[in-house]
Amino acid sequence: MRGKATAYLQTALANPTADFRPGQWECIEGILKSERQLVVQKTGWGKSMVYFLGTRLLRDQGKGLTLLVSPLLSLMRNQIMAANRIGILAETINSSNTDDWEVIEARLLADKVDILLISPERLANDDFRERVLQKVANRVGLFVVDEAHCISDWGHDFRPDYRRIVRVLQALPKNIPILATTATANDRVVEDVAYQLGALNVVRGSLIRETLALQNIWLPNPPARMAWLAEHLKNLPGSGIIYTLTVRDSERVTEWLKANGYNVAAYHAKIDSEAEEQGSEKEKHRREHLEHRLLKNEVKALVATVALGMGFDKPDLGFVVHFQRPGSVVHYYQQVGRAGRAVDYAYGILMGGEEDKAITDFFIKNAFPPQAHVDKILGALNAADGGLSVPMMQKQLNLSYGDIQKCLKLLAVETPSPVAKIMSAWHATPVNYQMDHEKIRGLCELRQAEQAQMIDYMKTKDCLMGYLGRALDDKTVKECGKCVNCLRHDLMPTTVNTDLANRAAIFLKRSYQPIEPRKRWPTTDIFDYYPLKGAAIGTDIMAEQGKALSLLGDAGWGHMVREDKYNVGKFRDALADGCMQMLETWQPQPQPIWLTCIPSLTHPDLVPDFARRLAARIGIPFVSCLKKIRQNEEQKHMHNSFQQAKNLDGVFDVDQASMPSGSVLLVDDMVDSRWTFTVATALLRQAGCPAVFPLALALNSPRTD
Amino acid sequence: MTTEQITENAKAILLLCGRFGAVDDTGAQPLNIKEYDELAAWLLSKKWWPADLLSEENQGVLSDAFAPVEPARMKALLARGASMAIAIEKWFNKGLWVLCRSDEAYPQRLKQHLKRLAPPILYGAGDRSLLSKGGLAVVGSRNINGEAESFARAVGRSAAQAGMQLISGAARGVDETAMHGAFEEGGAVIGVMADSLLRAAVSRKYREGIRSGQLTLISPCNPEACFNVGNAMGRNKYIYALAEYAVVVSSDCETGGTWAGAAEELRREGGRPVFVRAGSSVPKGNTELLRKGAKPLSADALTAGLKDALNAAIASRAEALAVPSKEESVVADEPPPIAVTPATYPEPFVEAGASRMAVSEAPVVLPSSVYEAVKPLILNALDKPRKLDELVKTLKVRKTQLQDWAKLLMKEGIIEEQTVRKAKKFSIRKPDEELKLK
Repeated sequence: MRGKATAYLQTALANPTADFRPGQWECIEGILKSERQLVVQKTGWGKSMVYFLGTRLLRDQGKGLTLLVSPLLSLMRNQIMAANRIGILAETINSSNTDDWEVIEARLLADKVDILLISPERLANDDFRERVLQKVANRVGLFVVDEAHCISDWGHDFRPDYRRIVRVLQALPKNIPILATTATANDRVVEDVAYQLGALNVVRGSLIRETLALQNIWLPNPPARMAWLAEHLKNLPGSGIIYTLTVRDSERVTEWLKANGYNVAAYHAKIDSEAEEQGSEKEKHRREHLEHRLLKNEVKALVATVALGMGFDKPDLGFVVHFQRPGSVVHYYQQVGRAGRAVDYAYGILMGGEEDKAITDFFIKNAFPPQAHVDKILGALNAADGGLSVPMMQKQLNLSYGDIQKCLKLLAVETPSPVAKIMSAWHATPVNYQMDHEKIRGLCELRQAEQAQMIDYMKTKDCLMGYLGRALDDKTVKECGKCVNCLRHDLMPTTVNTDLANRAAIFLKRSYQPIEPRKRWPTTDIFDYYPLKGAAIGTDIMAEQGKALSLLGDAGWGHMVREDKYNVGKFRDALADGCMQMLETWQPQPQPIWLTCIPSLTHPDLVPDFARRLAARIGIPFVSCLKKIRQNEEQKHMHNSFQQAKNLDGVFDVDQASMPSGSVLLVDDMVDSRWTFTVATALLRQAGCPAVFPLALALNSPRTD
Repeated sequence: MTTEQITENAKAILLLCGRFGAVDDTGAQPLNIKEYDELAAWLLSKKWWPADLLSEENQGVLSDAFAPVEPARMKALLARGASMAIAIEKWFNKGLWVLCRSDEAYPQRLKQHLKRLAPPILYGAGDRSLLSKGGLAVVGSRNINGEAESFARAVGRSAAQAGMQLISGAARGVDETAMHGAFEEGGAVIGVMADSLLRAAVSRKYREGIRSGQLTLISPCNPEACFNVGNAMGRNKYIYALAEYAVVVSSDCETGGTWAGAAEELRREGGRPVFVRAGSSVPKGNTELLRKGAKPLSADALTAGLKDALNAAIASRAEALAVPSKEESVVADEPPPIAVTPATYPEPFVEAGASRMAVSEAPVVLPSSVYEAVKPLILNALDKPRKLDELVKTLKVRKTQLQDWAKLLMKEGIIEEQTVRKAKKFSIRKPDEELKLK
């Protein structure tokens, strides 16, 4: 059989002298013996060749197709070619090719497909299972799970869908071989996966990547790191990835580098949802498009969050730079390991700063929903007769859409789960559910220990690749001879151009935030008091695009806004100067000829006082024609759109008699959900105001990745 | 129960007999109870367990000339592993469990009472220990009048007061009313479903009871199965099997599931004692069942002393049997009791320490008539509306004979004839209210 397999290998690689890498044939043999295997090998070792050949030999025996569960969007071009040479046809079913499902399904049922690639999300989706998968799964000869470290709760990468996948694997009968593969797993994760899957053969290889040269650079403040990037990015070879910890940083670093003449683009989880919100069909797969541009070297770098991760494979990536320190060695290894797969030399530069710890702590703290959210949601579902949709829950519960989704996702993957999604509604199941606080505490402690190890890695004088290898329990580690510690001299300069750093600081201070107008009410006819009907916010009552001076709490203006609002009780003149500068670059048209502000009953003077001074500087009248006629709950305690908009019902009134004509600047100190601006604008517009430009001192948006 | 706890034997039985997903697969037909039983006997003759069918080295033996199941069908069934795993994961995720005849926890009552006709797979939600506690079965039609309703409620209440759990079909009408009665008094209830177990388990009316351990729902059918007359009628025997006594609240005469189930139980050797609601305004089926050997139960007996009353009635009946009466001769005209030789059916495959017993004298279960015997075959062939000629072909029977049977089935209201695109076709009739639910 080995001879036959070798012949297939040579055909697949179009290389008549090719032979197996150590361990490959043993894995294929295991597949043929219907074994369960976990393969830990770095990317590029040839895991795909193992399941290609395994599939070929099983198909020769008359077995069914191979089901490959992987976050990959599709197989790589060279992989598909190799598979085709030995007569293996692969198809992909994922959310981006729904139009092709019917054709693929027919081919599957006609047994014309040898490998079916589906994403973990698809496998965990009940609807998809019923419509497509169940029929196909009647003939599966081999089950392959990629990125198998996600199976372990103790892995660095908590992916809820894998919790359902592992239970599918447990329920597989022994006549179907299982191949689980990963490029990163320490002993603890390997043990956990083996424990969960039972009787598992583990195949481990070296994780060291010889072509990668590593260096760590400590630059505490963000402007210094931005200056470093602006100065040195051009000297890094080829194209690469710059990782940031937050979406906001990804956006800002992108803007900064663009301003410095670089061809870069931001990449994060929000890109697709933003495009979707704007309803533009061609923008829907923007992330895929961005990946494609990087693959083709059309950009110097993508400035990405962790969202650019599994499934992205560019063999000739020249560098990976970290703008901030990742939360764990495994994260770091996985990200930096994307560089240098098929080039002789690539850079891995890790920069660290003062904000890293706060950000990572925030992520650790918010990884699990609090008990109160779980209780609220389960309470509502238990009281409901026919189940509840997420919008219905938003109406009943003062929880944000994101919090509800996070909670449901976590609950749904528990087995047995206290919730079940049937069609589009969520139901309570007959399961008694208790949150496992002990386990959550254990995981948080583990995450903190991982962060401590990463901080230690920043400081180590040992071989950096060696350090990573040891941390990943790779028994084959030796000194790399390439990193900054092995060479005892810098690979890249660690100094920063002061002029550039100053410019970066000013850039950060001036990062005005757009305030996009809301276009739809949370539901149809949401208000009882206001004469605002329907679901759409018509252009006749809509705001113009507004601007916020800063991000709350950020270095620069954001810091002053917070200090003045919460500690001083009066906004300083410097903020009015800042607004003047902003208006100069902004130039709202038609030019506002008067100014008003959002009234408050709790702080009746704070904002009007500032608005009056700002109006005087601009040289237009301040008119307080917007009145607050009813005290309501503070907006910041409202956690979703429905609650936020509803909380404003009947709160404001416009004194039409005193209202001047012409376009207006509408001032408030902080903007968050935008509903206050939206409602006040609608009332002003109904009273006859031709254009309303919202202006806020700070944008307060929660930090997410 | 977690997915890791499903044994390889249970997986093999599920592969052979289970249906996965709401969409029926287009491939091989899963084994029915009888086919599974024949296969089990064959495996036993080879000293094999079901899981041995999954071993690579044993694949050749599937083509054994004596194998009771076509090799191609068996292979196709056993290849459904991924489909099964996906289905199991889904069921368990929603809080269901699965028991196969090879599992130690499989309810003994079903095996003892039904012998070889005990379902190979049982799906359920809730506390499994309820299944071994016996109790009082309550059956009756979906449409009931006020008198029957208050009787059903009182049966539920008094069963709970007397410390007996209630077993019913969890359908509208008698079943639900009696269940509510038992719930009101804090009694435990088992609901035996013929369809939609998954949906029922998450419904508001049941989930709280399941969670508190007061209610257990079980089904021998795929948890996602839709309503099917055959399944609905077939489950009556499981309701009796799990109980010690049975009460018929309202029954049609010579038709319907309640009648068929009660009549079958009265014929069964060692059948559960069957009581029937007595009174002036009971339906004809009730009085006819009395004539067939059921015992009357009046509303006065529905107190906390119900259990004693039932036992006393059984004892006096035993005495009365010593003297042949006029009524007995009527009973004698009926088909003889179902003959079953061994007192308990020795399950060949039970894991966890139980020794593997041989089926020495295979028990024979005879249907009451040829018509009764072929009924399931015909219904099974009606997986969708079919023309008479098609049925003649699949069932390998003379056309005129099949026409006779079809007439009987239509008379019983089990099937109906429709005209689909100018062709006359037979199909299984769905009760009107079930259609509305869809």
